[in-house]
Amino acid sequence: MGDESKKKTGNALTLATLEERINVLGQAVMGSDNYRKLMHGAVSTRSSVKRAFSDQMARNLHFYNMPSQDDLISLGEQCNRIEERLVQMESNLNRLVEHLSGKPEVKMSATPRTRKRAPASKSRTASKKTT
Amino acid sequence: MAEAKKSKSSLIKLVERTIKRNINGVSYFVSPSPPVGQTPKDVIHRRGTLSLFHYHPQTEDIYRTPMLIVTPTSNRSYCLDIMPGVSFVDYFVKAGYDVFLMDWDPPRPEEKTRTLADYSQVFIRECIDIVQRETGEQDITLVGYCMGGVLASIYCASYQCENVRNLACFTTPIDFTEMGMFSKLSSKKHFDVDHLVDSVGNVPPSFIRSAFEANMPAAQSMGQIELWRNMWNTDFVDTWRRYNRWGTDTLPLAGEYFRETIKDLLWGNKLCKGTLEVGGRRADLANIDVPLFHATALHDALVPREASRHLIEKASSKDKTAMELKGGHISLVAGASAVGRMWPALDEWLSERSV
Repeated sequence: MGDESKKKTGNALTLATLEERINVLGQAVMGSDNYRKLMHGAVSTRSSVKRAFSDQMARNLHFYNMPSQDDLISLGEQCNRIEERLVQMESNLNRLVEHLSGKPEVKMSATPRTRKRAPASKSRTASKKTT
Repeated sequence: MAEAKKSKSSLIKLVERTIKRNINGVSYFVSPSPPVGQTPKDVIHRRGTLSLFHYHPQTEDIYRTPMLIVTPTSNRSYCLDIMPGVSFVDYFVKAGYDVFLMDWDPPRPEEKTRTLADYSQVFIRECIDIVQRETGEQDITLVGYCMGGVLASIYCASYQCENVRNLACFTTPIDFTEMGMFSKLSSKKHFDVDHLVDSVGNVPPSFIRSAFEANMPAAQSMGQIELWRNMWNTDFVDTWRRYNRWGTDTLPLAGEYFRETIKDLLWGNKLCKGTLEVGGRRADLANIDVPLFHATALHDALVPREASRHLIEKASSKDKTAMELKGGHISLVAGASAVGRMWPALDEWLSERSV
């Protein structure tokens, strides 16, 4: 039984060491100037290709008198602006109601807010600094 | 005789484990991932990417000050409600707090224009208004985890803690020059953030995930090895699947928000320098003067201590508590360290300040 647990600990330790080493190595590679240049180059190319494809698709759709993704997005943005104004109006109306009635409009919950502090317990905090 | 008995029991154990390994292995591939976010709640507000949850109180009486949690924009909020027994929200609901949580859905293409001001000021302000209406309380406790902590801090710093009674943050980065691989990968020298955002709109989750993975390149493979070694253990497999689901469930980021985060926070380090301006307001951390709690993890690979320690140092609050716990970025809020240490400590701290 002792041998088995020793073996288990040994395995876990080996894996942990391996993980640490790979992390250090990986970070050294990914943090290098060349890797970053390559990665950002790839990301940039990919996004350019995606944009070019999307532009071409928009031209094709417009040819057939159909809305492109950009058209739908601007429509969505317009809806967002309307929603934002509605939220603002709602908030102003709530304030007006509060002002007219003299007290805030509250959806009263059934649970009373009377809970008091629990007796101090000995928590197993690590390093705790209080100023 | 003893030797034979020992080898017989090892053989039985081996057979049992092999059977369990096969059952769990098949179930891993054919069954859906275990449920998460099971604490009962209502969605009381929804606007685009934002949803506001209200968790049902489960005690006879609750503390006066409600709690509003701001979760990181790059991940799902169920990290704080991952499974029964390891759920931040469940713990605090059962401890007698009125808990509200801001959850993020993937931003839609038309939400690419959402800015840092939207996330840190408009949405938080809107949720505070709703919490006030729901509870009748003027002041709330604002809780932020990781990037959620940054948003909560920016709100407090730019709105002079308006309607905030307490601020509690966990692993909140402030000095972005100390963000390790994030700082390196987003270096101005090679990274053309304008080109990326202008081309793709919202930044895809694969891009965000690759930045997380660069911090711990071996983590994913080692996780798979650990899973294989423990495949016979049903509980381990279940827990592993929940955390793995959360880890890989990365959200896209709204384009403008990402652009501002990179330029102002990572390149300019303006939050740390006190020169950040959001929505026309100066976000100086010295404006934070309410009771402040900040928990950090000793072995946090994503947000090192050097990056997060400044929150306590820069806030002008007289009542400040800093806590450093063993463990990593996730275990601090949803792991052994959280259940045994952080949650009880935060409960003790908050209970004094929520009556």
